[in-house]
Amino acid sequence: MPFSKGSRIGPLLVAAIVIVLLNTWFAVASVRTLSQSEYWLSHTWQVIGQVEGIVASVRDADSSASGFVLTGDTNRLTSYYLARQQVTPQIQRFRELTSDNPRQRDNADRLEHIAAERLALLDQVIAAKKIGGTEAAASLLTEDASSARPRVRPIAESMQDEERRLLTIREEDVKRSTLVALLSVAVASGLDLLLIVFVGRILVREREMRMQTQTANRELEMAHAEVEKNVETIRQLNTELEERVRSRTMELESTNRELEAFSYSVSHDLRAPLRTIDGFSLALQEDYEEAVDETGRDYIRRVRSGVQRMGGLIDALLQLSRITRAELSRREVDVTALAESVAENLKEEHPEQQIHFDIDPGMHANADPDLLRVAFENLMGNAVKFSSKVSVSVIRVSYDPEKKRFEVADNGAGFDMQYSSKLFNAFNRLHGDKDFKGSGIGLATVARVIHRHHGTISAESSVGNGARFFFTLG
Amino acid sequence: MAEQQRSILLVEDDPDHEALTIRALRKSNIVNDVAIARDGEEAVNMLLGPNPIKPQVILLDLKLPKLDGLEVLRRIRESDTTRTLPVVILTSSDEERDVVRSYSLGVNSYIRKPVNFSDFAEATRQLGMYWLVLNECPPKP
Repeated sequence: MPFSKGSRIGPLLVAAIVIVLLNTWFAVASVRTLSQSEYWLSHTWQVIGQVEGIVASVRDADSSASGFVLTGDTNRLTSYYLARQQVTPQIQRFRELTSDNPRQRDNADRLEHIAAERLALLDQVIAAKKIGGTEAAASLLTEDASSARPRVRPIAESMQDEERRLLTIREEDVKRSTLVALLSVAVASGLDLLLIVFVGRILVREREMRMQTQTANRELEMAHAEVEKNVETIRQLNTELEERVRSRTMELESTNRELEAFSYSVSHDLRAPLRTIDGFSLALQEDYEEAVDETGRDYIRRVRSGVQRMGGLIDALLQLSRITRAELSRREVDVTALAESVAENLKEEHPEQQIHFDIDPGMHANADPDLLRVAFENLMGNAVKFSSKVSVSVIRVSYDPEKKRFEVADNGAGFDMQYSSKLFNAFNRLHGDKDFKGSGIGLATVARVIHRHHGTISAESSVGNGARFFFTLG
Repeated sequence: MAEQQRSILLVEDDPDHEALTIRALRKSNIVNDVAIARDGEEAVNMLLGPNPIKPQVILLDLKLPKLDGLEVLRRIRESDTTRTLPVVILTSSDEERDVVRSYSLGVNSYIRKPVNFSDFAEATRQLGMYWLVLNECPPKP
């Protein structure tokens, strides 16, 4: 499972194993303490038995010796030696058993001493019996019984008392150890049980979580599939869109080609009859001037002026369509030089008009120089045209670096801002032909140049107060 | 023969323009013989046919029936006998592509006919003066 929850199981398992091991160790330790205590208990009983054995051997030796003295039976003598032989190893054994207890060591020394004295006396008694007979031996015994010599019995009892004292202590130990062992086993089992429950719960939770993650995973997979499907749909839509764009582009290209053919045809075919009309009307004027009166000559002039206007319109329309079709090639343009050259041409074209151009120095732009020239020609030409009725035309071309926009301003007739929305549409004119002649295409051409540069164009004016045109170049 | 040597070939499908062009030439005191071709095929026949003429200058319109002006120009420049003839395109069109194609085919001059007839007459006068009087033609083989 690639989920991080799995890693939580590891430390938990280790902790559980440690707890179980500790529990086991503790239980084993208490059981060992218990068995130790029990060992000591049985040891104590053994010591007590040993003392009992020593006492019994001494008593046996005593009674066998007495019996021999009284009866002279040599069988009794044999059992005496048998008993006597046992005493030293028995005491030795006792010493071994109680080597850990100094008090018992002292007791053993005393007991050995007393036993040795007693056995020495009995040896004397037996020897006296063999040599001097019953009387002498009995007198030795009687003498001894009346003497204040210490006896085996009391010391043995003191030894046993000592062991009994230990016995009580050890019995207590055993009891306690038993209790501790029981308790520890119980506690360990309890802890283990708790651990099992705990681990079990964690496992259950883990499983639930895994199931949840699995469910979540399945949901995620489903969502993923959904997304995939959507992506596929989007891809399909995209393909369709691309297809549509391609077909539209093709349509557009063919429309463009038609438009091109159209404008070519306009350029050629529309001018041809115009030139004919103009040519023959001029011939009429020149060759038959005398044949018609002043009214006739006026009519001929009007025909020719109509032809000129038509020619201007065709030129403006062609320029507009060419600007739409022309490839835009931007480069660094010296706008000041461009505006100055346009200004020179305009002054030459309008020798009768007093024009003062005020052109900012050092203006530059990244633009298509040909299209930008068309824009300036139209804007500055307009400025000249609409200021033709003031005594001195003042035309200012400037650049605002903060707003990054150019401005062409004049002191001419201006226009009503109410109609400003019509300014940049082809064939929309704000002035009648009797005031200012024009095609109504110039500003549309300028707007198209600016839009092809991804710039904006706007105007500010009021009637009689000149006009200001602003544009940016994107 | 001498007159033919100093002649003009005008390739023009519009009779009105033909009349006006000839009038403008005469008004400028250019009295040279003017041969007229009504379409491109006729022009090619006159220049490369069995009885070829050798005009001093060819005034060629672009938009012509049958063969257009550019095709006529191409044929003129392809043939050894006509390759060196001065050709002036005289057309209403000022489409850039026409100008470019004409020059790439080896035209000597490209004139856009102005709508204003006074301007057109002036252009015709200058044209005649230049090509018929000032310009030195290549020597005849």
